[in-house]
Amino acid sequence: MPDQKTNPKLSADVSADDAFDRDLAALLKMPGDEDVALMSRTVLSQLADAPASRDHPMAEVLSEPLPWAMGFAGLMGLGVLLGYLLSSGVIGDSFLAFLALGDFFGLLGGF
Amino acid sequence: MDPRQAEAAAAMAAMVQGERAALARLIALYGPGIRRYAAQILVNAGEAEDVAQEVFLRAWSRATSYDPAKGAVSSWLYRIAVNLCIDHNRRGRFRRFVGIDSVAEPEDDTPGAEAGLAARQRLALAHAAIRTLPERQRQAILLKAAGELSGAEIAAALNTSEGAVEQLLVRARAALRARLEKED
Repeated sequence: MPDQKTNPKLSADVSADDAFDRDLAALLKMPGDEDVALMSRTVLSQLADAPASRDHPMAEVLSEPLPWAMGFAGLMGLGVLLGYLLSSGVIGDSFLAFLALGDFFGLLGGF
Repeated sequence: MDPRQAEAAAAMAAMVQGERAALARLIALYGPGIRRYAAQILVNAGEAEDVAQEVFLRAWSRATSYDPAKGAVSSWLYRIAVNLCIDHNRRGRFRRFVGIDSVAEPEDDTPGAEAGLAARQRLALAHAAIRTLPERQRQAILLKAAGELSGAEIAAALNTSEGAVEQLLVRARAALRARLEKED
C-alpha cells in the first residue's frame, strides 16, 4: 500500500487536508479565548462550595421536569397496577372478600 | 507521548490524589479547546463556558474512573465534553419548546469589533457550514479543528476506530469545501 512518502498525490492530499484543518482551527480561535483564569477560578470555587452528597440537586429537577414527571407517573401507574392485581388476585372476587373489604373500609369510616 | 499529554497524565495522577492545583493545570491545557468545541457544537453558544466548567467539575468528581489504558487524558475529557454537549442540546430542545429558553443571538460589543467584521463573517459562514454536517462528522471535524486532537485521540473520544474517524474527517472536509466554495 503506497504511503505519503512514495505517493506524491497522497502526500499533496494530506498536506491540503492539514492546511484545511489549520485554517479552520485558526478561524475558530477568537482573541482572548486562551484565557482560562475565570474558568479556573469558577471551577475551583465551585469545588470549594460543593455540597457533600446531592446526586440530583433541585436545579436538575427544575431544568428537566418532563423525565422526572414521567418517572413519577410511571411509579404511580405501577402502584395502581400492583394494587389492582393484589386486590383481585390475593383477596379474590368472592362475596366474602368484598365483605372483608367493606369491614376494613368501615373501620376507616367508609362504605 | 507528546509533552502536553505527558503533562496532562501527570496532572491526572495528581488529581486522583486530590490536588486541586492539578485540576487548574488541566483547565489551562484543555479549557480553551473544550470551550471552543462547545461554542461550535451547542445550539446555544452562550452555554459554552458553563459546559466547559461542568466538564472539569465532572473530571474532578470522576478522576478515579480514568483508565490510561483506554486513551489519553485529552480523549477522556473531550468524551465528557461530547456527552455533555449532546445532553445540553437535548435539554435545550425541550426548554426552547416550552419557551423557557431562546437561542441566544451572537453578540460582539468588543471595541474595534467593526474591524473584525470580515473575520466574523468568515466565522459565521464556517459555523453555518459546520451546522449542516451530520452529527458525527461535525463532532469529528470540531474535535480536530477546535480541540486540535490527533486521529487517535478523536477515535478514543468518540469511542470508534481511527479508520472511522479518518472517514468522517474526509467527508466533513469535502462537504465543508463544497459549501464554502459555493458561498464564495
